[in-house]
Amino acid sequence: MQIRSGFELPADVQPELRRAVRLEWATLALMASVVVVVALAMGSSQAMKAAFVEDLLSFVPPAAFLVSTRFRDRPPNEAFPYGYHRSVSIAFLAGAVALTIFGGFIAFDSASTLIARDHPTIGTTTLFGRTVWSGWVMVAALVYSVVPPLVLGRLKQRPARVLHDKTLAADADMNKADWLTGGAGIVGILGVGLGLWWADAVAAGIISVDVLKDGIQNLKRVVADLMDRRPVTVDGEVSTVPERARAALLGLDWVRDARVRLREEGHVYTGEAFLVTDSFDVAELPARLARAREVLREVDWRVHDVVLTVVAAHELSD
Amino acid sequence: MLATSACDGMPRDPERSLETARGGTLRVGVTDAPPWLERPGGPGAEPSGPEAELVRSFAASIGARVAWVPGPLDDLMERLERFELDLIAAGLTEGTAWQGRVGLSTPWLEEEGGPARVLAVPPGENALLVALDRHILRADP
Repeated sequence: MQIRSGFELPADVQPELRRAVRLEWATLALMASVVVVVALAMGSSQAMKAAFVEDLLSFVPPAAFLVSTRFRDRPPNEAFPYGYHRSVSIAFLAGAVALTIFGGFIAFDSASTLIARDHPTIGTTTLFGRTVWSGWVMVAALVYSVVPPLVLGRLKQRPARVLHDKTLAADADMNKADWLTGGAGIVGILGVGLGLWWADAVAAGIISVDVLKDGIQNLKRVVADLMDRRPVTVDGEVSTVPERARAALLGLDWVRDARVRLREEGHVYTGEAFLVTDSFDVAELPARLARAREVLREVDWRVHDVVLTVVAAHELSD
Repeated sequence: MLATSACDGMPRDPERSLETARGGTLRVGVTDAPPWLERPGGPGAEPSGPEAELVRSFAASIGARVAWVPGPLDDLMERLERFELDLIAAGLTEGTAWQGRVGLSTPWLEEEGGPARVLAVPPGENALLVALDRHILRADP
C-alpha cells in the first residue's frame, strides 16, 4: 500500500508557527483571567452572562489550534494512510457547533426576558470597605475583558495568513469582534443604571447575534472544507494555487494538456493532476513524474501529495 | 467627591419606587415572622421586632412614613412584582424561593450557622435597593 509522505512546514514559515503557538498560549492564560473577573462580577445581569459565555467560548479556537498542531503533522500510518491533517477541521467543527448553539441559547434567553418584561436587579457590593453599586464593578470587569482579545486578535492576523491556518484566522476574527461584546455589555449596564430596565437584555441580544454570526460563519467554512471545496485563502478568496499548478505542469515539455483538482486538508492542499502526454518510452515515466511532483512543490509549500495520472486527451474534455 | 456624587445619580429606578416613597409613603408588605417581626392583633397595632425596627429606621432615613400591608407571602410577592409594594418584611432568608423574581437586600442579620435574613424589594428597582443596602450596612457594619 502506498502511504503518504510526512509533511513539514518550510523553514521560513516555522518562526510564524512558534509565534502563533505562543500567542495562543497567551490567549488561554489571559482569557482565563478574564473569565474569572467576569464571573466574579456577573450577578444577575444578562449581558454579563452573555459576555461570560462568549469569553468561555473563546477558549475553543486556541485549544483547537494547540491540539491540532500536535496532531496534524504526525506522519501517516497503516491505520490513517492520509495522515492527520483533517484533525484541524474536526476540532474546528466542534467549536463552531458549540458557538452556534450558545448564540442561539442567549438570543432566546434575552428575547424571553424582554417579552416577560423582567427587570434586572443589580444591588451593591462592598469593595475596600465601601458600598458601591455592583453595576460599576461589572463595567470595570467588562472594560478589562475587552483589552486582551483586542490586542491578541491583531497580533494573530499575520501568522494566520502566513500559515494559512483557518483556526487561527477564525480565532483572530473572534478576538477582534470581542470589543463589541464588551462594549454592548457596558452600554447595557449603564442603561440599567439610568433606569432603562430593557437595556441589559437588549445588550445581551446584540452579543448573542454576534456569537451566532461567528458560529454560523465558522460552521459554513468548516463544512465547506470537509466537503472538499476548492482551496480558498484565509480571507475567503479563491486560491490561485490550482491555476498556477496547472501552468507549472503545462510548462513541462512532455505535457500537452493538464487538469489539476485540489482540496484543502488542514493547512495543506492535496489532490490529483491529470496529464495528457505525447508518446514517449514508458521506461522514462517514473523520472518524468518525479520531476512533475518537484515542479508542483515549487508552486507553493502548501501543495502536498498530489497524485499524478496520465490520461488520454479525450478524457480531459468536460 | 466628584466620583461620589456621580455614583449617587446611578442607579435609577425604572419604576421610580425610591423617588415616590421619599417624603411620602413606603408601602411595606408584612407577614408574621417571630421573633424577627411580630404583629399584635387589634386595629392600628404596629408590628414589632428587629425587622420592623429596621424598616422604620429606613423609612425615616428617606423621610417616608410606613404603610404596613399585611397578607399571605405569595400575595405580597406578586404585588411586589407588580410594583404595588416597595418592600416586604417577612423574615425572608437569602435562599428564598422568590430569589430571581424579586430583588433581595444585603443581609440585615447573619447568625452563626443560621441563614442570612434579607428584605425583598421590587425587581429591578435598583436605586431603592442600593439605598436600603447602604442603610442596612450603616446600621450594622
